[in-house]
Amino acid sequence: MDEKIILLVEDNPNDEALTLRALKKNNIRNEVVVVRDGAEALEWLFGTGAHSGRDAANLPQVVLLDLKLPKVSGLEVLRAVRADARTKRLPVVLLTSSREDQDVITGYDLGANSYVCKPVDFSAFAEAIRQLGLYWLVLNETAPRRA
Amino acid sequence: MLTYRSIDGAADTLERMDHTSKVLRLLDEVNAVYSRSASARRAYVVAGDASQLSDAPVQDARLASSIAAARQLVADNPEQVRRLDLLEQLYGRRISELQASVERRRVEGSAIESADGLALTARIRAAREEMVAEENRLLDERHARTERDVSRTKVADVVGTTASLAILVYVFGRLRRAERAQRNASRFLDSIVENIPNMIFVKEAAGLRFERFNRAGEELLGVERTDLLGKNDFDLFPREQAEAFQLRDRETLASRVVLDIPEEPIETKAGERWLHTKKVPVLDEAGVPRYLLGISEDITERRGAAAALRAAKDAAEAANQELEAFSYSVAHDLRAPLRAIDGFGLALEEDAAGRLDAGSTDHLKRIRRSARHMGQLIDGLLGLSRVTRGDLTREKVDLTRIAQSSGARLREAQPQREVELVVEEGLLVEGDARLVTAALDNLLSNAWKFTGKRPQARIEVGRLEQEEEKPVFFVRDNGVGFDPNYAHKLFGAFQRLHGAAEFEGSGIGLATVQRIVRRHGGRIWADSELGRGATFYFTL
Repeated sequence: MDEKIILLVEDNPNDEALTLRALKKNNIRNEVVVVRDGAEALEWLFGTGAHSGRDAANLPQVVLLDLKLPKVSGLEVLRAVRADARTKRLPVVLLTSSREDQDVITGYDLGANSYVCKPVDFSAFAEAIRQLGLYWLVLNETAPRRA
Repeated sequence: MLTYRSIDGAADTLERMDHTSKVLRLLDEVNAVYSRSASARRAYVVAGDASQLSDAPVQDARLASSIAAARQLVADNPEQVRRLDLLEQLYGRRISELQASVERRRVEGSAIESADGLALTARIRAAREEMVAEENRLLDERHARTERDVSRTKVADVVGTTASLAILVYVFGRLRRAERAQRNASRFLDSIVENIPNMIFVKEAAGLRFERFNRAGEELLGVERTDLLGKNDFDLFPREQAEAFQLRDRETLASRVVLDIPEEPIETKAGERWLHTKKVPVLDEAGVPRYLLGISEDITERRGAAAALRAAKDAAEAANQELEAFSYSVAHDLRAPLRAIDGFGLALEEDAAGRLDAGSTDHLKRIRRSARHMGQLIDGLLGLSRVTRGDLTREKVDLTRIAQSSGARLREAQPQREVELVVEEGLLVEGDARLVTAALDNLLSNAWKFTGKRPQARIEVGRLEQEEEKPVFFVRDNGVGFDPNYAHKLFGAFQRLHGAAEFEGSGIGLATVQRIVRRHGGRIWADSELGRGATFYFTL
């Protein structure tokens, strides 16, 4: 089932634990790979640096990408992902703290597929994750991979 | 023999013309210098503008030297000397009177010009006109004498001279009229060029030597025109600068179009000044450039002010960006721990539900509720700071439609409530659509909230019937109202007039509304009777 990997890019351990819990609660049992900053996310995706040796052709089903990250920000990760032929169709969902975030708009401009607001009210977040799971992992086919 | 005397007379007349025009020009200059001296002081006395005060003594000194020069010219005419003395005395009185007003203003903070001032000014004008009239009269007299001489010779000596005499007389008559007209025109032009407050210079096209230079130019560069006329830029400026000036002069002359130099630094005796210069090629009838006319305005102060304005704007923008960054981190960083509190609280509730007693379950719920409340407070603060940022764009806004859709949203959130919402038709106003919507949303959700305990809630949005300049809109409800004694606290951030147990809320909504209204230059106020509903009025 390595095709169903979810890449979670999240630096806050609490948010990481809560996201994993929300996924599990919603019966999304896919393998979740967690990286904690934007630089590592890119290394993982492209099989470089700390993740050299990983097969870059094996893309995750979806990337859950926090906007505010150390080193390389979420938007920069998104820009790099969209700029690379291998990953430009990779589904990317932005995680953000604020609905009003200007970065969400920028994120859409850069080609984000969706975004999930991480509100203070956790049940709302869990509900959003539930819908996200259905949408990306069940209903939505990923773009056909190029040979 | 014929012509000897008459030519002699003619020469005399021409000399007299020249003399007269010199005297008149000097009188003009005297008066111009006096006007500057007087207006420098009046600017301070009347308007408190002290910027020219330091110029006044300079002009006073020039006044004295100009009068001295004029006195030399009229020395042969005791009457004119007497008039000049009177004129000098009157100028002196007027200036010392103005100086007294300056001192008074400096000490007392204000000063009224004395009524004598006007009378003095009139006497100055009269004395000056008398001198001018006398000069013109002398000129006429001299001329009449020449003409008489000419006719007398004509009678005495007839042979072969009649024709030439007639020609001479005719020519003289024409010459005199033409000379006078030309003299008037050129005096007029001279005084305009002299009094224009911008530097004006004229260079001849061949050698680019200065042909003409005005007073503003002398003052700006700190040179006398005698030091400059007949010279070119290489005599006056450093080599490099002179080369640059001349290159542009030649280009302008060759292109035959006006060159506009919006800003350019120039070294003067008083240090560097910035000029806005226009260079104009002056062509002759054949279209050949003969002169280069330059007009320069000293924009040093304006430029400084613009730079200061830019700096202030940059600082404001930097502060705004800082605020933006601050809001971002408030939104992001403060929410994260709250999310953890609420999220792990929920996890505990779900996982340990069976093992907790009723009290502990209640505590857990309170913890989660508090975290969520703090989340709302943060949202409110962010909203409040958002309305002060960004540009305000005014457009036609339909309050009726905004109120109706806002009401629809509230109804959707609480479909079980029975609320009668009455919105007057055609409530149009100029305002920023985004901000006005936020304000109306806040007012309506307040009304919705505080009518929560009324079985027959009624909310009304409309416009007051009255003839004020700006339309007054209102949002009225029949809810619990507020104690009018605390009305002044309504619009403060975090001010609440109802207990949290009674009505939920962050206490930021009305502060936000007020900020929006004020950004539009409007006013907001409210009246109420406790238990009988409240009405909020606003203008935009």
